[in-house]
Amino acid sequence: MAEAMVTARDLNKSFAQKRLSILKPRQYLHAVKNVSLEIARGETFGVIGESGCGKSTLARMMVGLHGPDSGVIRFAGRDAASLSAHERHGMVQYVFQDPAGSLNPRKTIRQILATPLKLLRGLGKQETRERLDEIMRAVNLPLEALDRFPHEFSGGQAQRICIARALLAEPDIIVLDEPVSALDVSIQAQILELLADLKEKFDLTYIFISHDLAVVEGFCDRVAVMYFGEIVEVTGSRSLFSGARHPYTRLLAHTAPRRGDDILAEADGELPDPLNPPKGCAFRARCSKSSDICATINPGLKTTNAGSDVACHFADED
Amino acid sequence: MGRYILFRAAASVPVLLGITIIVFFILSMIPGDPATAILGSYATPENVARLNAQLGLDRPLVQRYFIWLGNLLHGDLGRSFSLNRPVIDEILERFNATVILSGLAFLICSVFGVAAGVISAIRQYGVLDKLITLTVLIGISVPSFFLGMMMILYFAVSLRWFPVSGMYALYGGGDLPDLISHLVMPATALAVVATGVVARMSRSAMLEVLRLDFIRTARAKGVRESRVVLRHALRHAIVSILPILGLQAGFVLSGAVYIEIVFQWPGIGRMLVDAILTRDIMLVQGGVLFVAACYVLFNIVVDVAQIWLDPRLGR
Amino acid sequence: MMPLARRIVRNRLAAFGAGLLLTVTCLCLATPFLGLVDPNIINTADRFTMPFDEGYILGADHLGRDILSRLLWGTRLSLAVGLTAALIAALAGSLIGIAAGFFGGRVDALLMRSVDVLMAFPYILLALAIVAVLGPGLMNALIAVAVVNVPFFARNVRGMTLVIARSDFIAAARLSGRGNLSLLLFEVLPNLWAVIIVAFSTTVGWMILETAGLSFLGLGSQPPQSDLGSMLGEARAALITNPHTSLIPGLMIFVIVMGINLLGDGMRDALDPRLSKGGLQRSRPVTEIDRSKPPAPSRQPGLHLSGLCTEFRVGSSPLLAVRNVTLGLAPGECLAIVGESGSGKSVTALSVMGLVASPPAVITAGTVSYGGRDLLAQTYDVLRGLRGHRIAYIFQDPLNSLHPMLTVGEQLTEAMQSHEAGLSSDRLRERATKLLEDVRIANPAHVLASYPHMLSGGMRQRISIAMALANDPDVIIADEPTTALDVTVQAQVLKILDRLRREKGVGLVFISHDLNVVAQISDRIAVMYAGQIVENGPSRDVLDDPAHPYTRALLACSPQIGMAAGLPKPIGGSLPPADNLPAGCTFAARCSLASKACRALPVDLVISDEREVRCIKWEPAHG
Repeated sequence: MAEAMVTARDLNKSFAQKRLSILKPRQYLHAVKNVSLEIARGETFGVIGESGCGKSTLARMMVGLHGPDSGVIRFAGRDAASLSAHERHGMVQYVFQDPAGSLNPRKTIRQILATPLKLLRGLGKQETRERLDEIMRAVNLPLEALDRFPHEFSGGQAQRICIARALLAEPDIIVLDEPVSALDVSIQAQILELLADLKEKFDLTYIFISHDLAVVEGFCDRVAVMYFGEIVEVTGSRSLFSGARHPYTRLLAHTAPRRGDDILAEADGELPDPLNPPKGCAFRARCSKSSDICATINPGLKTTNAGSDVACHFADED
Repeated sequence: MGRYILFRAAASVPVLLGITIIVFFILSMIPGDPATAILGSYATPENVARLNAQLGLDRPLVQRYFIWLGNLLHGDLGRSFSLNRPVIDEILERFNATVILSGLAFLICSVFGVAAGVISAIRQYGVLDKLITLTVLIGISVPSFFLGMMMILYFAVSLRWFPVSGMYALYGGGDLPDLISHLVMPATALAVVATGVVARMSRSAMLEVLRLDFIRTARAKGVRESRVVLRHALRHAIVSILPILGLQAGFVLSGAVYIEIVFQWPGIGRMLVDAILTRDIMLVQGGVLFVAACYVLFNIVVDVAQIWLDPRLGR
Repeated sequence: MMPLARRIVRNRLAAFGAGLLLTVTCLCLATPFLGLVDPNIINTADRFTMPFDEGYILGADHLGRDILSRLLWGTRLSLAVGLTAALIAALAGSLIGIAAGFFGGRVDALLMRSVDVLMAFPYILLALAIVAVLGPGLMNALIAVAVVNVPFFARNVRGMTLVIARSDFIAAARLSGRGNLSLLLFEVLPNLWAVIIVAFSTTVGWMILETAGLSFLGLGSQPPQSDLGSMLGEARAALITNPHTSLIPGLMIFVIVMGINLLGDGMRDALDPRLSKGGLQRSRPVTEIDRSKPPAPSRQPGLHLSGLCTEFRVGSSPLLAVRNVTLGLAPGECLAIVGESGSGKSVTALSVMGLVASPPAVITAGTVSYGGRDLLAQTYDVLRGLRGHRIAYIFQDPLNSLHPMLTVGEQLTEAMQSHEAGLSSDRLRERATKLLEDVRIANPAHVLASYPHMLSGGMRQRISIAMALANDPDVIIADEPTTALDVTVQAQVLKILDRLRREKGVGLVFISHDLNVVAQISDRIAVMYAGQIVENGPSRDVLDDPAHPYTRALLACSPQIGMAAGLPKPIGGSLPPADNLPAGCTFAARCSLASKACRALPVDLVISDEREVRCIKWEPAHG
């Protein structure tokens, strides 16, 4: 593997729940548990999972919108905790799921886009103007758009603006948190194409958060599958469908609708209660392979014979 | 449920303490010397000092607070010098009259306010809605003391329907019909503004709820429209109307001060104004504290009612 | 600011209020130059002079002072004091609210607990306590009224600040390099003005009333200085003998407060985005219908839409959401309606039973035939009898579409009771249990007693399905029933829906944006674009051999797993606006095959065998 652009070691994050009674102990929701990962320069790394699996929390920790409870994040070898906010934001940027909600309704696009240039890059008026014109061309938006307000744009256009804002900080890494989930398919494809182009052009590394396996399969190089706060499998995205080793990855891949197939569904199966996490493997209640060992020992990620990392006691069986 | 009531009651202890602190310290900031106020400006310094010691005023403020709080817990609110009787006795006597007045006003504003709001919402932009909206607008713009005066002028002096003022007739009164005839005008004058506010809030709460998805689901199920409005919409809206009613209770208690003055109603509000003008601090302190504590208790009831109605809260 | 002023002026009541206030304000400003008598000159000989008598325009009071002069000077004082109190309260309250909302945590807890304690006083009482300390006097009354109103501002502003501080655009601005102070000043504050102004305009009337009230009680302005409240207070003694001395100041207070309230309401309506878009309108039980000469209802079995048009009447030009839609659903069939957002698929589905929110929706043409009747021509009672009984719905978001305060059992049995009177409670319970078992809910008794928020999304959607099946309907219309669910749950719900419709022989209209989902469940697919059907045919044909360029493009840009085909192919451009549609083919602007002929005239549906296609380039394969 080439030089690691992003390394994360044993990240943990939990959120205190609102207390219902002073007499009861405060409950914690463990959103991200012992997550480690390594992402190479220039890679598009997918993080996939269903709602509540902790993928957005992980994404927000990467850019520093949440601080981890424990664990280390490194960008190009530098400990993120030692970076100033300015240095960090100049290295890692973020694109939100809801493009309209991430643009201040009272500001023009010019004001919004000029902020990172002025504050992170320290550019003057003239340079700012030039950079703004440049970036609007890069994301295929007309220059007139600069002097309009966010509500005047469709979802796809607003997402282009958000991408432009992230690019203006000249980051090495962009965390894309479900950037196309709120968009219609035809627009989704436009944005994905744009992102792929920009990656080439600006030599970027992407962390791409999504719940949509089909999108991840086509867009990412490698992908981490999260379940209940943990990474259960890291694999090449092309082998998501046919080469998955973890039972949960297989379940995800096979319940995703495919045009030729009949509906494939597990009979039942719900997430465990996040406030009372089960012992051992969190997936075991839904797993056909589960045995005694799964109820006691949490498997942890191990590299399999096939070369992917899987958190399952039976990863090498079939 | 029982646990929640306990929890809610426990949570209001700090608020009650906060109230005692504010009441005590605000009123102990009053310039001048109560002993002088009581004995008059010709009192000898020795007499003043003796009275101060007697009243415990020579001790440090914080210590005085705790002594006062201790007495308070025993139901001792001190002694009113202008009336020369225990504050608590005077308050309990007066409070009765205030509760009758503001209780009826609160009832009027809850029933008529919510009803007017609901009717206004379901007849949005209809004649009835416009009529209610206009009445409400006038209602919330009239000062209650002015309204009271005009009512006296018209209903009592011109039409002679109701007595001009007081709680009971001076001679031969004292029964329920007598009380009611004295009560109608002040309670109405007191309720008008609150009714307007409740009607407005109920209207917009209903309109807001009627746009929600589950209303469409109810209609899609084939539920009758009357039932959609009353069971589905009102049930949901009442949860957001309840806190407004809680606020109005405080408003009615406050407004009673004006109304009691205008209608010579022997309640706690009039007592407070007189006490302020005569600088009877113990009486002011006791009265404010007592009414505020009642209001806090009332708000516990409102909160509990809200939890009881909305299963999403609590638990 | 201009549009705000214009919106207020357009609102007649608000303009009237503004007019009243403007008149009063001008009079107040001009008072010193009107050459009035000194308001404090006592002339006992003239006491209680009636209005318009010898030199007194508004008469004289109990000391023979000129009421007009006193009124104007008093109004000046009342307005000044009320406004000042309101400004102080707004400033202090907003600062507290902003600090509490933005910094959260301990700061928030400390500030808001203090505010709670202030709120715990019935508020005149607190004002009385403050006046008791400071002593009667106008300045003291002003301070008391300001303090008492601080909590109101603090609470409102804190609430809004919290919402803003947690929004994505604040996080985004942080990532653009803004620090706390700069975030607060440049990102949060500009979004708070509206709230503060609305709170101010709705309370300033109160504050004028309250200061007048304190003066009325003799605790505010002290003689000889006098505001409207103390004028009224002094006049009270002569209320019965000389009512005009009370009437005049009282009416003045009323006029001022009323003007402020009218203007305040106008400001609120103009500034609240929900209100300005006509959002707070009550929707009628049935969508408004305004059509001429509808086609006769079809006698075929099943559900048939013909020439359906639904529009939203907002603004100057109506939004044409559904245009001339003709569709048929045979008994027991599953018809999918597919399209992107804004294609009109949901509006089509909701129009069937008159469930599109009206206003602003109006059905302007077409018929909906069911059992030989035109549903759009039925009375409310007939339609209600069919809703949920013969034709039932399942909606997208199972959390919001179930009533949060009624148990699952209550909601299920209500569906049955609405169409069948006199069911015993045992019978209802038995049937509800059976329904839940049908949708594979393991412990029905427990779920029946639960509230929707206690259940997972998948469970809630199963309950919606059970509710739709409650009266054994002929048709179920499911509007994006699995869109809000995770894939694994989506698959479960789809499976249940598919099994039940086959078992019970229910016709299913399945609305979705997802071709992959639709492919798995439907017999026929209708593709909608910009309010029209562009293609309609058996699922296999539409998927394997799409005839319309839009269908082809949609298939190419809908990725599915296991294809490993790289990125999906985008469709350039975007949907035409519904209030400004092109004359010709609506897809022409995004279509690679489009020619001049496509753009010239509206394109009709070409029907061949089982397929319908709205494209002039399509050549049906005959024979």
